[in-house]
Amino acid sequence: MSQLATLFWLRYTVFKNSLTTRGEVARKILNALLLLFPLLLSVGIGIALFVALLTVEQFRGPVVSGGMTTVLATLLFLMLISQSTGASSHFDPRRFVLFPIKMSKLYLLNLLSALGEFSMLMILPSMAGMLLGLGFAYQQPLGGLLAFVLALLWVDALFICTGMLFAWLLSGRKRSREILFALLIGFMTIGGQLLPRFFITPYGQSLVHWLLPYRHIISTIFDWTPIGVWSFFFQHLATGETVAAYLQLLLVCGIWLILALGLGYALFWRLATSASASSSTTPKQSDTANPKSSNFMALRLPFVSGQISAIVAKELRYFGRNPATYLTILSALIFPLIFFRSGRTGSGIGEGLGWMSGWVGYVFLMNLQYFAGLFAYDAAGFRQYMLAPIKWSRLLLGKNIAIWFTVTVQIGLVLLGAELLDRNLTTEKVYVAGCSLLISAAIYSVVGNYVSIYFPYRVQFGVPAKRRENWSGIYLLAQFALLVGVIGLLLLPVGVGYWFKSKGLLYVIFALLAIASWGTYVWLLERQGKLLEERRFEIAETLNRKTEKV
Amino acid sequence: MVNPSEIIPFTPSVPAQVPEPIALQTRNLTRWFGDFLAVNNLHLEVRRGSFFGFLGPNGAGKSTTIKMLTGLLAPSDGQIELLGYDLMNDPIMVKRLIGVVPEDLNLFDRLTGAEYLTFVGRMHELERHVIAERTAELLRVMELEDKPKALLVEYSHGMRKKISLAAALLHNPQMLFLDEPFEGVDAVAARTIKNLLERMRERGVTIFLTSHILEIVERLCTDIAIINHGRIIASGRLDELRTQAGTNLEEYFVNLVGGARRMTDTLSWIG
Repeated sequence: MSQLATLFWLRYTVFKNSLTTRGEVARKILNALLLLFPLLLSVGIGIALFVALLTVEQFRGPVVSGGMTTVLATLLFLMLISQSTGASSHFDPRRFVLFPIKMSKLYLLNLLSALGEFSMLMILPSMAGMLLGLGFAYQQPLGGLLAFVLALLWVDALFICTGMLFAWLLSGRKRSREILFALLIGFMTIGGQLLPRFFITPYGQSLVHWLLPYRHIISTIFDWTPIGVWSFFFQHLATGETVAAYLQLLLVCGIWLILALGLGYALFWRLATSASASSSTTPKQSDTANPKSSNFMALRLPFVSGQISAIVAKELRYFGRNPATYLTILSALIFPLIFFRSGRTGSGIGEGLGWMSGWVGYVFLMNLQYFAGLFAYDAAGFRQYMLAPIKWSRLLLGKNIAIWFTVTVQIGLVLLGAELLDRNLTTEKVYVAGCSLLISAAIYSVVGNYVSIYFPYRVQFGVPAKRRENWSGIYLLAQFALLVGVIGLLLLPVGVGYWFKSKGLLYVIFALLAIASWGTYVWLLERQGKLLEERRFEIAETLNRKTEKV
Repeated sequence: MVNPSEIIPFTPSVPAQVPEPIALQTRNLTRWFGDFLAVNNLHLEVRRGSFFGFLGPNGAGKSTTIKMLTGLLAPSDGQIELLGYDLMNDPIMVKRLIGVVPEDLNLFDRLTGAEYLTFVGRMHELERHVIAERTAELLRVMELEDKPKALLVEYSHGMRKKISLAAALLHNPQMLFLDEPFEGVDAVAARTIKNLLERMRERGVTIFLTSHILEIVERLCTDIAIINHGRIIASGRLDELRTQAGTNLEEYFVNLVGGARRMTDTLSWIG
């Protein structure tokens, strides 16, 4: 068997061997079915684009000017999901470095296998529909085909290059690289949302006015990028400047393709030849022999036992050392603060108070991963809980307290931002925010505890990875239920208050809901503790299970 | 070499006149993994204050057994009594009395060594000053004090073993379970650990050890049991074993688990 065939056989065998139980098989089938819908949708979009470009002339202009930009932005976003979740199916060069296989061959194989990635399958039909459609529309079918092939090659190279960059950033288990990774993810996810909003702010408008005289230079530069060259190509095809169109397309695609392939291969090689084990990293010597940092672990909270305080201290330490936390906090804060700045918070019952409840709900939603994945970052450390003489309900309480603390800090920052930016923070808004926080904290904890106990999953530091196959479905379900349930619940008192024109009624309903949700939490905590005790072996097994990846 | 047919599974020759206090006792301990029977109806007794070596070839059921004994894995059937407490009924009490170094370590990777020990001490509800003193002492003895800011994820394998052992010793357990504690540990660290364990045994701590390094077992252990295919095939005091079998532990072990027969096999292309 040739080496290439062997690698595909290996991938198939690893997949086949992962189907150890009926549950696993069912999960894989369910996931495949879940993927089927977006894939069909994607193919549908591609066909629709092709037909629309052939039949509707007015449609061609906007597609030529902004089509590829949209497709590439979508691809980048989708790539983030697969690459950052560790779901990418590229061959990890570290696993093959001892075998007599050329790295270039392995790299080529990765380029080929990238074409089967979910994110690629999601955008390739649109890309094909658009570029081939434009080619046919301008009576240049071969030009359309060439544009599509070049786009395919470049996107493929970019995909692998990004994948290698992410793999390299996380390979050394170095915090600096993890933080850089989190910032990259943050920039790519939040940046896409923030940039358009920035340009409607006074600062953005000033920047646009400042750049206006240079628009031709900017446009020319843009034409030499892989995002803008397709627009240039079809615009020039439409005006009959065929030679210039083809030349620039080939030149730009060639240069960027070589750059992406070269950088990707350099990272690939570096990844293959760098030791990945934790033992390879030598910690720096410190000049202090006395470990002061353990003082924080001796944190003693009022009203709770030392064991619970220790759990809280450990969890807060983990939050502080996890780049993903910074990303969560950034995501949780950025939108409320932008909206406050945009003057979307009034002071009436239906407006200002409703927004306040909504933002509290939003901050909680951003933190759902911590509520619903209580043990996700513990990995092998979970066994320490099993060996420690602690009641399981206490463990849950300690973990919940730590998340309540971080969420309270985030909501505090939102309130502080509201005061600093809008100067209209009233006592009633604080009251509503406080009650919303209490209600959400109790409900999220109850639901999150159940999800964590029944559907545990493992997360690597800095990046969600090696998840259980059932993770995404359950997580999304919980997210949807909590989004509708909790935000609906938080808006209920506001709605009732607005309907009856009574703030007093609003306050009373908020208070009653807070009491009811906390009663539920306290009532269920012991039961959840017993449940956790019963399921501890399954959880430990899940957290320690290593996902085979080649 | 000893002929395998001459090997007689070892049993203590003289029953003890006065029943000795038992630290660990299992009855009908069984564990199934699907259709595979990993541990088969295990009856095990470990004397208090003994240094007990639990031996067996790869896949014999050692780790499964030790996980069940320490509450890290649920038995399919059977009972476990540790230091007078039933593990199923009094798990919290048992956990207070035992220390465990599992084979695949139970560390929180993003804590420093000192933070991890502080956390473990607090989980065992030790006084703050006791935790601080013992942490400093353990880090010194284990030679981990010169890297106080290093996270456990940055530790080498040997360092991780040592910090795990330190955590197991922190609350001064009456019984210690060590699953392959010398695996991946350098000679200097191994000597430190061996000395430490010997001192603990002298102080009356019961130690339950699994190891593939039979020289260490022979040097440290007072009692042994050998497990193969999930069943105990020999158990008793090591000095009696030596006398009865007339050979060293390695010969005895290899012949007992069928290694002598396998040694006659060769590789066709090597000859």
